[in-house]
Amino acid sequence: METTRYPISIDGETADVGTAGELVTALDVLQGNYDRAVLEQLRPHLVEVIGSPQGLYATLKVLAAEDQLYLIEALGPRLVDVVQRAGALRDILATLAESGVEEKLLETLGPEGLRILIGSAEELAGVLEWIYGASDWLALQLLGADFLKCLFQSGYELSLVLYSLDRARQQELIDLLGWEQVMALVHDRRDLAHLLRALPAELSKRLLTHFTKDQLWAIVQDERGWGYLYNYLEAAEAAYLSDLLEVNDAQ
Amino acid sequence: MPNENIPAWTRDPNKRGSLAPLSGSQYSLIDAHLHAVNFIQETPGGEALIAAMDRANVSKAVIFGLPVAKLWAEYDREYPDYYLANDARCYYYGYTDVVVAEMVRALPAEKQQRLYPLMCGFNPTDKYAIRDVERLYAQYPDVWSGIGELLLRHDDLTALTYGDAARANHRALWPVYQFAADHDLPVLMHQNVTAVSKSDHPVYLYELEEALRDFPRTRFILAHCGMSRRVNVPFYHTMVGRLLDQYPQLVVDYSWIIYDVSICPDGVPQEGWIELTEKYSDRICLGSDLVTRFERLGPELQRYDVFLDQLSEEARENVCWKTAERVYGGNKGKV
Repeated sequence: METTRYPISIDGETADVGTAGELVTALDVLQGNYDRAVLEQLRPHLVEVIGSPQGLYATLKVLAAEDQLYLIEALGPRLVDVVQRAGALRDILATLAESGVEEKLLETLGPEGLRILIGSAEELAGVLEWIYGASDWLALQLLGADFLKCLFQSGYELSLVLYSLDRARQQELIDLLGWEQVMALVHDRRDLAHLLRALPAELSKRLLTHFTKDQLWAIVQDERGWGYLYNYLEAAEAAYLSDLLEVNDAQ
Repeated sequence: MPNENIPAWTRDPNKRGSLAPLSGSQYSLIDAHLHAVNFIQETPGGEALIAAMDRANVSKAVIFGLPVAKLWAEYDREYPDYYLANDARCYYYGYTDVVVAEMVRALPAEKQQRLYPLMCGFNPTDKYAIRDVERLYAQYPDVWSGIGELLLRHDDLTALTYGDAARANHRALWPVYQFAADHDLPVLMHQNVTAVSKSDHPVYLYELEEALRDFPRTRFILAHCGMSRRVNVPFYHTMVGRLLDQYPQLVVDYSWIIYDVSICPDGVPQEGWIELTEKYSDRICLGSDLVTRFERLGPELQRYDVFLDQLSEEARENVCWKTAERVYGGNKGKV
């Protein structure tokens, strides 16, 4: 396919740019002194020029934070067409070093863009893996409670996302979902084991208090099930759960 | 194989910056060292290459694939795109030659004439290597202009590649060298003169010299004069001069890291290299050593201008294109 190239002009010199590689090369030979000027000149064509998640990654990598923000804004609602998939969003977020830029990226994708990109709990966990604190919470809020409730099909899937969050954000996610919804995700001992493993002891305890002894035994099933579960638990959690189940730790 | 450590790939905000390097060298030249396929065995294609050559004032190019492919390991979530991208190993990948040959054949004849493709897709530590060379010549007799770039001693790549360490004096290559001699073909080889951990003397130079001694009628080209990432030794240009003096069939190319580390550090051409180049200009080629990323051709080759400006017209013409034309031109259809 023929590449369409767009002219740029700096200090009386001109060049044509049609791909992300050409854009980055142009920015490089300009020694980083004209990044904004080049982006401004190409603004209407940036989606075509950057073209792919690899192109976006390569371009963001050479820009200062303020120009990263400009580029993301310039891509606007078509940013999702450039990012294309959750794995690419994960990799791009992983390499950004400014929370403000990460948040701009998430906000620009918006609820709709994020929901297009993220199709599974595993993908969401990847996206959240290398962003922190407020950025995590922003992503979850943008996705929204209804979407998240549909996304998580099991306790195991929820645990994947919980591992990517700090404790405060874990609490916020559970509040967003509601304890009843979290309980409903626990289908078997594997779900319970992974949730207890992902949550800090305090939240594990709160989760367990929502179950009756009979409900817990229905999940754990038998002594083998208890043995399986036991291997995932920290000592305090094991002691607490064994009390609820009225089993001996050593069983 | 340029990376971010060389000036053409790093920014200096203290410099004014200019779009001019995108147009390449002021001297029209043959890029005598260009990988048309990358380490994951992908190529932007022949038309993209020719377009990039046109924008960068490159009349012709000596192109080849890469004889090794980087493994996307089961344990790697992100795909690698360079041999140093992660810890995964590399393996020999014969199909690279088919990618190159088909890419060339898809071009119109006048564009094919601007490319000198070399074949490299065989395991240089396998005594079946000659069989693979003969097969590829039989399959694409109108395509090839020679053999290379053989990746032999090669900084971290040697350690990352499955199998024996490839080296210029490996006996599996003897029949390949003989084949090249029989058909008067050039053999471009990457053979580091030393190991990355040994920079006080060239511990692997004898491997190269053994091949040079045993095959006096084989036309060898030593890529980037045997230098590589973290590979350097004292008296480099003297050593290269000695090799050129000792082995009349040897040619070297100036490409990649040798230029920035030794020939023209900090953009200042070194007198010893200028003298050497004047003396042996008919045995020296210039190359970019780009691994695809053709959009970098311009700045990559333009950086040579400060050195080329210092040469006599005769020497400059030789290193810019005449040597490459003599070494790589006229070889198609010899087998």
